[in-house]
Amino acid sequence: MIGPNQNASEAIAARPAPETGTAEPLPLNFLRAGDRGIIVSLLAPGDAAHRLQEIGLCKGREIRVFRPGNPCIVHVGGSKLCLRSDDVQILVEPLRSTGEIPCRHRHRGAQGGQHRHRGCG
Amino acid sequence: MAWPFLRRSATPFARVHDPSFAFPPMSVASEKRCVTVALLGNPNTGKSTLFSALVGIYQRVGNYPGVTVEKRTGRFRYHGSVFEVVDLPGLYSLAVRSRDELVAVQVLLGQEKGVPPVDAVVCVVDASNLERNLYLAGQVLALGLPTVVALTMVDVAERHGISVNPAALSERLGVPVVPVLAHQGKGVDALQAAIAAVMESPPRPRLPQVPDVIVAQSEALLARLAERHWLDLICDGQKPPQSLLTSEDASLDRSDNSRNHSGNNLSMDSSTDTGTDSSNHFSNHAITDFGADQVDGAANNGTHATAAASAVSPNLTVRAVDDVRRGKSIPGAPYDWRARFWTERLLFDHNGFLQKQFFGKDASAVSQLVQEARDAIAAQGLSTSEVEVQCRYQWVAKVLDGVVTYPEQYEQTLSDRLDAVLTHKVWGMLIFALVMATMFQAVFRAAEPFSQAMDRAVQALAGLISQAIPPGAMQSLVIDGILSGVGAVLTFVPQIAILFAFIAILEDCGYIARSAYLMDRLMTRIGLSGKSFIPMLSSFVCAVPGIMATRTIENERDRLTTILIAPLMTCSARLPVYGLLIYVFIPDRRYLWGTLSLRGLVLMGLYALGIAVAVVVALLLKRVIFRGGTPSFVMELPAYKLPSPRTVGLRVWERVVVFVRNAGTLILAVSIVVWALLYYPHHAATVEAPFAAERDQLREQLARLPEGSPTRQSVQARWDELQREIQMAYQHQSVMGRLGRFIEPVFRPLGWDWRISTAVLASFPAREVVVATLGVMFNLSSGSEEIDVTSEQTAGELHARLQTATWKGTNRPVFNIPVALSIMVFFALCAQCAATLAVIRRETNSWFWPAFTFAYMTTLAYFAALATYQVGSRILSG
Repeated sequence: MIGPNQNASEAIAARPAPETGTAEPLPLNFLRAGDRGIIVSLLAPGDAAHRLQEIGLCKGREIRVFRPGNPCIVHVGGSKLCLRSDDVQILVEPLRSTGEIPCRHRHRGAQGGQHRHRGCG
Repeated sequence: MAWPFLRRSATPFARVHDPSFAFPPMSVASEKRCVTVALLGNPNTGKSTLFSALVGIYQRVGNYPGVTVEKRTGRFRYHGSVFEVVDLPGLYSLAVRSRDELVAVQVLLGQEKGVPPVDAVVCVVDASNLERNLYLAGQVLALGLPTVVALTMVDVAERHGISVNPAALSERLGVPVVPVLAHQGKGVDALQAAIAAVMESPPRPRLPQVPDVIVAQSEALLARLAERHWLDLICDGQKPPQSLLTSEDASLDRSDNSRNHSGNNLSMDSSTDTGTDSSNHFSNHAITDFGADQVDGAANNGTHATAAASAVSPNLTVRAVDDVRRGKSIPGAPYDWRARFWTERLLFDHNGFLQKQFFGKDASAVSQLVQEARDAIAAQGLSTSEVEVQCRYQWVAKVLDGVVTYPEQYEQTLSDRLDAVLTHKVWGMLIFALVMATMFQAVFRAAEPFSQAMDRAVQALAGLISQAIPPGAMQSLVIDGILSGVGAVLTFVPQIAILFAFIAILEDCGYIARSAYLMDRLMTRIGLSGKSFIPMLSSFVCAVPGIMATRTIENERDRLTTILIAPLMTCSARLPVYGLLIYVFIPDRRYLWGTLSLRGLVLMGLYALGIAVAVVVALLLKRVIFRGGTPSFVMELPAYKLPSPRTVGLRVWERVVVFVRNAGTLILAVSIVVWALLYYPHHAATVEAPFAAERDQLREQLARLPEGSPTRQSVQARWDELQREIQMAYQHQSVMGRLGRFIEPVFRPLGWDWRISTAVLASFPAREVVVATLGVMFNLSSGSEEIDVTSEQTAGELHARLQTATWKGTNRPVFNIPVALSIMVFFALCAQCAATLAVIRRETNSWFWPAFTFAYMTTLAYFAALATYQVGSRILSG
């Protein structure tokens, strides 16, 4: 856990730091409500990926699922987004749910060891 | 945290509360000193509130030509100078993907006709979501225009444990950062001062945030486009300097400037003392190139800084931009800054939207050039589809480093707790249903008395006029033409206002987005998104506010589809038609121990018909006209907030004004035309001749008989009937009557005689008028104004009248159940509503869509009514 004075550039680094790459990436809709993850890839047709990245769904950001499903509600950056992902594939590297409400920024060293394959809600 | 903070703390400005301040006239030409300020920012950043706080309630709302974007302007005065503020629609990025976004950016660049070039930008930045907001701010800063950052939602951010240091942020961005709490009016004076000051501040470097290799390729592409004269297509209308200009004299005196718009003078008035330092600004073109260290991290394989790039690095400054705009050149920047901006955007625009918009038939040729440039960039190891987002967010991270601190743990916010319930599968739906039910109740309950009062007022006025103006064409024009038109407009106003107040409140507090989430699954089945739900639902009251509410739908296709199918929803104006016909023709049968009535079922069937047809039309439109994949749907769920009465009030007022102005004019015009068609030719001698003898006799009897005698009553009744027969005779020979008889063959397969046809034609301005016209046509005693079908006596008489009406020359009755059903089906689907068509025109900014709506709905209505009659009469006769 890092302190409040965490370096912002580290927090929003474009690439995930190698030490967090322990968990296998999962599609976003495998995450349950309250689960967190780091976005590792975003595939969308045409220009959609660019727009999604612009409004915050970019690689390396922490994403937290508020309501799973399609459409789903996620927290990313400081915003809450409603996302219908028919043709958008977001892969996330899950972060371990610690039971506590997570910080919306990336936590260095947070481990996402569990491979829980769950159906989408 | 310093509050309120202003970077230029030495600014001598304090807001002068000038009691003589009045809203300045809007015409630009008449203003000597007027600075145009663009207000720009992400959606849901409190931008509208800030706009209202800046300019007060005197706002001008219009549309930009050709698009549906709302053009909102207002003015404020500061130290004698007038600032015109243009509120741009909420943007997440300057990377445009729709015509609406394109217009917003063109306004910012001064390329939109009718808006003076922007002199300064206020970039609204939400403190609770700095990263995403600064992404846009970064793009804006790179334009080089004088910019002030307005930091909103500082209170919200603090509540979330986020603290921002505006001083440090200002230092990093190189522009003033002013925290504002617009709803409390805090910081607004400081913002005005900062805007005034930034106009006078020394030039500021553009912040080149994209790697140099992209700048270089962009520059090369620019040269190639210029060679083929394609740059004219990018910067149309403004005639920007596109060739190399040689005037190197950058040290112009600002006081003799000849700005290219309306002769506006940039300088403030004498109190702000502009002359002394102006020459310094223009000799200050040596700007540090921020490029190298900006992009260090982004180009991760270190492929920036080519020789070409450093040669043409766009060292534009604010003043230099100003020079370019004035037609002067600056060294090293041969092209118009807007051409430079758009060329760079072309490189990033992977869906080809800009190419299509700018180059039309040359798009493919341009696309080849662009692709070559992209390939050259790719050869350096950068991908144009990713590099912009990466390096801009990296810049944001650098800017925010140490400027903002986040809480260690994410605290659940009030919005989260509310959303836990309001977006819940069960509770959320229940609450949504409850909210919608309340809305409908309120509209019908609260609007009813107002509408009735309006009706009564119109009636009373008609009474007065009939006394003031002698009977004749003039009286008839005023009462039946103008007044009934005005009445039709006014009776809509209360329900539109109340419905819109609800929608505005839901929108302002953030609930609309949640309702879109809840309804998305349902609406995607017909190819729309959840955002179409509330407009469609509102259309059950009236299509006018429904269509106006489609402004929340960003996707142009979804928006048009919703607009086109909204009039199919069964609005309250259809109810009088249904009420009359169902009451008279559908037998009062009950099934299942009295729980289901046949009449109720027919009414339900008509509602279902509208919905079913809307679904089919929506699917067809999506397949045929608005083809292309459904774009993935992303919507921000803004934090909940208390709705601001000012915003809600303004919005309702604007909508009502729009309705009265647009729909009112059209309805009035159409009413007068329809009146004339029903009135002329008014040959009194020929028409009244057959009735003259009896009329004279009755008049004489009436004069003779004492008040209250039973004979007198029967004579009076006969007199009234005679009057109606005369009126009918007039309508029979009127242009409309003739037209009705002329096109009777067209409507005969629907089971309609000329009277029904005429009534339907005459109900073009508003469909409920058909009841009144039918009343006249079939000689109903309750007169042409209101038919109260619930009263036993009227109903009985109506029934008798309509049942006994026969086809001319035969005793075949005109009305039977299939005819009644065919009329109702026709009215369920037709577009007999001038108000709706006027609002569609206004919202789509084109006459094509209302014409299309009218054509498709009338065709549908005709064939559906035809099928109903033909099938219905076969079943009943067989």
